[in-house]
Amino acid sequence: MNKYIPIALISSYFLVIFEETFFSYFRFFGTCLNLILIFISLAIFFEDERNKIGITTALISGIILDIFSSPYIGFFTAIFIILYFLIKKITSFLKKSDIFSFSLFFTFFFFIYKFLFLLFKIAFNNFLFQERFFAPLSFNLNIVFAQFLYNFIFAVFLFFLITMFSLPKKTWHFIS
Amino acid sequence: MIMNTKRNIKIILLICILAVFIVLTDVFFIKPIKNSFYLISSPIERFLSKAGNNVCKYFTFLFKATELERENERLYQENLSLISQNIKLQSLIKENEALRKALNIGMAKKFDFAFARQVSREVDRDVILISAGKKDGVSAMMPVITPQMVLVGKVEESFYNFSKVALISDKKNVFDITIKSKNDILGVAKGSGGSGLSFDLVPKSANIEKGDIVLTTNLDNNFPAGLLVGEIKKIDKSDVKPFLKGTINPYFEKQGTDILFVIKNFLKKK
Repeated sequence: MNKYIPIALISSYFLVIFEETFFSYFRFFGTCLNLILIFISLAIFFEDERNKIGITTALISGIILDIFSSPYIGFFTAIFIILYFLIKKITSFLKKSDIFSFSLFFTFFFFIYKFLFLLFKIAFNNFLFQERFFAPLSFNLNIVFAQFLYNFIFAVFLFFLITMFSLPKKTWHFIS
Repeated sequence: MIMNTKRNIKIILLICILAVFIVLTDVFFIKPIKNSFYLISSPIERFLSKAGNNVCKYFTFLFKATELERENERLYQENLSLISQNIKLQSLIKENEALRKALNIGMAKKFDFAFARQVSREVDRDVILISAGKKDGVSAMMPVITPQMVLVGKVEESFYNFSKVALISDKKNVFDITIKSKNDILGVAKGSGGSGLSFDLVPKSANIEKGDIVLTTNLDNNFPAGLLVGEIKKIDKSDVKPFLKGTINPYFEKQGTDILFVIKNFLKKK
């Protein structure tokens, strides 16, 4: 787990900067690419028993995102850690690492993330803190589906890139 | 079993210590930590922002060349008519100044601005980071505009060197507007997220059309009056509902520049 920490840290940092600057100009029906989410989904999908890249990535990316985007430290960290355990349980039936499995995995991953985000928003606004940073509860399905489609296409593209470079299917070896 | 209990106690204790640490960080240390991260990252962010804007403009030019040509022609004609209107207004301004002097009325209130640049934009919320903070006299609730007096949003949180600005399309922004139609019609604008802005509470009898300009009013003391918000994009007419609703095309999205001004001497009275 230790050797993935610097990789996750540097990658998350630059991905957050990229998504908030360069990619913020490329909007699809008012929605943006969530590179951190795609990064975590790929890390969890390719995680196996030997490496713990999924949980490492979820934890570190959450902290980085908390610093850049969230009003409170722990907001995104908690979401991503809970998401990690939930998605591992729900998609434990997926045995293969093909495009169909990844598409299904990412669909579950995205919508569970959206649900957790909404839940945490309610908790922070109503029970823990005053409604300082988050708007009243509302769910615009058009925006959610547009965001899902945009991120899904990019995630599948990255999945193809990773598998095309013939990385071993269930492991990521950046450091040999 | 005793070992398990001891282990569980240790885990609970660790979680409690972590929770206390997180709460203390959020209360006391979060702002300096965030400010330091933004300070270190801002040169890279500014470079990538410019790069993203240029690449986006290039692709827009490629795919919308015909539309741009038509828009250019329309703007040229509009510019000519505005020049002639401006000439007529100059004499009215002089007359107004003379009357004010004669009647001893004070000049219109001037704004005190803090200069800023957009650094980055959050993914999940309609919030941007600007390069002006407490050291520039910026604090929460201050309005933010472009040099062309287009309303951008309101300062949500300010750090020492930077500030977070909630755009007018952010869901928690609700403010009074006036629609420049044949008459001035009052309504309410609400952020709908995803760069979207909607209007509501416009009387059904109001004669508004697509393309009508929307400005801020000072009725709710949210923003200074007369700032450009956008133009009417779509009107939802319903026989059942008592008011007209619709969507607004916000002008701030079309601004090609990252230069912004924070109005320091206009704050909503509590």
